[in-house]
Amino acid sequence: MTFEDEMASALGNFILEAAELLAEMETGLLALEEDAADEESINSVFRAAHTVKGSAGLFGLDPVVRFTHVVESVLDRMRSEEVSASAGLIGVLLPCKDHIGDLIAGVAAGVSQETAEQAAIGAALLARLTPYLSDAVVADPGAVPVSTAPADFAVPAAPAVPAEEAGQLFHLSLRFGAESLRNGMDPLSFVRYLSTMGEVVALTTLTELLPEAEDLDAEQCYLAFQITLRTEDNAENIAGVFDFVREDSDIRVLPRGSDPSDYADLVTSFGPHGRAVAGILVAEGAIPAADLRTAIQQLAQGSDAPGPDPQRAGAGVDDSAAAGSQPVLDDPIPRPRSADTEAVPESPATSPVAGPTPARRAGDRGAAENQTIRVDAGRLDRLIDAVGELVIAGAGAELRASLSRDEGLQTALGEVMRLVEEVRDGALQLRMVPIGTTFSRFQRIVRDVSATLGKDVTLTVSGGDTEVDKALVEQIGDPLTHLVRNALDHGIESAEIRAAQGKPARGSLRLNAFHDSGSIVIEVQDDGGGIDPDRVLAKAIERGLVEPNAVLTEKDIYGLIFEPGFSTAATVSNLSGRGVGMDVVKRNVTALRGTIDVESRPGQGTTLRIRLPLTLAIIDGFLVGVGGATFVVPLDRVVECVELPAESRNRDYMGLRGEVLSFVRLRSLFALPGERPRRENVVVVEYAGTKTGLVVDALKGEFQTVIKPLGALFENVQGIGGSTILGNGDVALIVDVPTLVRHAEEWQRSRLASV
Amino acid sequence: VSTGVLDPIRLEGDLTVQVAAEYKILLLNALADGDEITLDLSGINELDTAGLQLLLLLKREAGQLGRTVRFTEPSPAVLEVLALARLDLALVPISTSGEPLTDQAGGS
Repeated sequence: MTFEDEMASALGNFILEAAELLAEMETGLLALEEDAADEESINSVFRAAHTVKGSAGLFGLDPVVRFTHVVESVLDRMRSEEVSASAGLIGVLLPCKDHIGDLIAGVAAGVSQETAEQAAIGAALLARLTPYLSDAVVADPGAVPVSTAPADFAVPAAPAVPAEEAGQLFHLSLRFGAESLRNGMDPLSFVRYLSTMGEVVALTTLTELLPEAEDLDAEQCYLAFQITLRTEDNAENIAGVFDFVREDSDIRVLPRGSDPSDYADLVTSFGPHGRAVAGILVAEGAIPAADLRTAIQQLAQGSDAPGPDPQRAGAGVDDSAAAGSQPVLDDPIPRPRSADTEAVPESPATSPVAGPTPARRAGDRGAAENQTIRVDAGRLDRLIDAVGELVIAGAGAELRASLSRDEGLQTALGEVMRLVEEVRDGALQLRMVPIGTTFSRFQRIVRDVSATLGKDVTLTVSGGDTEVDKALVEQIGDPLTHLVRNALDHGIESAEIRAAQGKPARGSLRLNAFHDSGSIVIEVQDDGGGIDPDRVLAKAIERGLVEPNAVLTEKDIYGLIFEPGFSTAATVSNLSGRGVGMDVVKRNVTALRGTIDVESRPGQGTTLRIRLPLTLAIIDGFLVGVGGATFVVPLDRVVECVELPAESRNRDYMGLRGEVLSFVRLRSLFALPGERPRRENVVVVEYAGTKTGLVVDALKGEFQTVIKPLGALFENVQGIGGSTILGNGDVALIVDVPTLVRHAEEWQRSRLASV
Repeated sequence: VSTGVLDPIRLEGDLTVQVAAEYKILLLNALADGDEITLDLSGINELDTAGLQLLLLLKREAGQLGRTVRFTEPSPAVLEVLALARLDLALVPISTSGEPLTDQAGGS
């Protein structure tokens, strides 16, 4: 992999990671809205911002770094309880988080510079943040606030940084010999002297070299200093200050603009702590991060010398956490404060770039967080596919073994099959993720939407740890969002109406998930006005969806809201229940082989219940035979199986408990050869409330199977949803019930029309 | 054995290389004794690099042990060194009232 490739892949990781961190930040901020003193949330929000900024710095995403730095400064003040997490502040921080996300989204789209619009939004947000920074904006980070200094002690005047300064900038790196203290040389007095030569623009005390407590010799010097000095003196004179200690110390004086290799050499000389030094150099503007990275790279290649990872070195920017540094809005460049002993975890995104990445990265993070690794979904799919084949091949072997009458072989194979099934379950488990990640984003949606609508609504989430196939989680997000918005908009009444009805002014919305016999059920429940069945029916009649004199059960009526054509813009405003695009929701859910139903009590609220299969990769099927072919009907669509009555042998409908059931003959539909057997069977399937029969030759029972997609050639075949391989090696096609039901309906209708 | 919050420990005289070894033992022991220790720095006449790195070590140890160490009432000598090393924000949450502010790094 070339360096560019590595960077690109690392950037991809960063974007993924940033999304997770920002989600974490949002969760934290919303928690703070509930409990402003929640220390854990404050820390997690801070850490998230800190890490995003650090990683963004590594990739030279300056707009992100600049903006996030200010946010982080405010968060740092929150952490040190200088400002409280007031509703006002959270109200600013949430859009700030969005803005960071927006900037990173730009990066993902290949734009590293912010657009004019983004810049304007950023500036507006920063202006709103300013009040929360105010008393931390001290002219100099080192200056003790005057009010706190005793009257008889003058704090060394630390001048603010004027725009124009005389003199040249020097970057000094001071590491004093271990024995210098014992020899009576106090490094601090050298630092003190430097300030007489010019202006100490920045100074960082490096504590990285401090050993563990038991190994620390209190009389040895371990502190190092990284200084930016502005002076009219020359490098030689500056170096001369350290003549007394030069021998066993490492003193470097680099004028601004020195060769990148000099900086690279300095950074590498710090070994594993080079990263911190690199961060300081970059933050002080000594050298651009990219140049430093390149120089370190070259140095490492040239000398083969052990040094810090080049990319890690460049990442040191994230060490900055200086809350009260320079006037922040004027100089938003991160100002490292490496004496910082806070337990902020090392930015995880800094490591993916470095050499032997994924494994180490997983380990690093694993220690701190849940033990998780990120796996390419495609690889997982291939694994599951292979396991599916294994199950099938195993079944074939078992069949052979049963014919051989070799009991030892059969026993052994039985054990193998048990393990194979275990492996299959385990493999499928890998795709399972808790639905809570999807739920968590609704806190924000509820907050924002209810604020827009002027309603006060609490969202309660339960069952967030219920696991479901990852692909489902991704695809259920949009329909759920729709339902939640609908509940807020149309379900929950305004505070006045609620008060008039004796309900608590604060509306309640509940998201719940649980497992139920091989499915996951997701409920969206509100305590609003409910759906008025009379109005729904009236609307449906008006729209021609039902006959005016039709007799419908309440359940049927509620089902009407999912009909295409039921909801239009006009219904949004006057329908007491919900309206917008429920047919779209239903279509999405159905596409996932799920169902949706609604339960409502007028005046008390509505519950929408989505039921989905746990995984998209496996279905419980019902095997049927037509001629020599075998088909799989998804079991969740099967209502019952009956024998085809003799009187219906030459008709296309039959009587089923007093109702007329139309049916489709699979033999004629798929033009299968062979004679019709004397006895035929009907599998009654249901889709969207419509029952249809499928006429088949033989019923072969239930069968759990791995769905394999059809090849591109068969993509447009109607009525077939996929294929699977049976134990005996035969291919079985999976019947696409919704299409067949629709087909039967249309056929029926056209026949009626032609009569 | 942790005994919780200890009374402030007042440091007097010089905190320099001459006494750093003794103070190292004393302060680390104090940290081992309490979840939360407070060092009153008002009596310190001189602080050098050895003393400074001792304070930083203590702070870091506290962080690693999940304990809290607070520095309060810094004397002018301490303030001067902290300002010089630009460590005041990291090391000493100074309060005007003499009440220690909540420590941001060592605790929790």
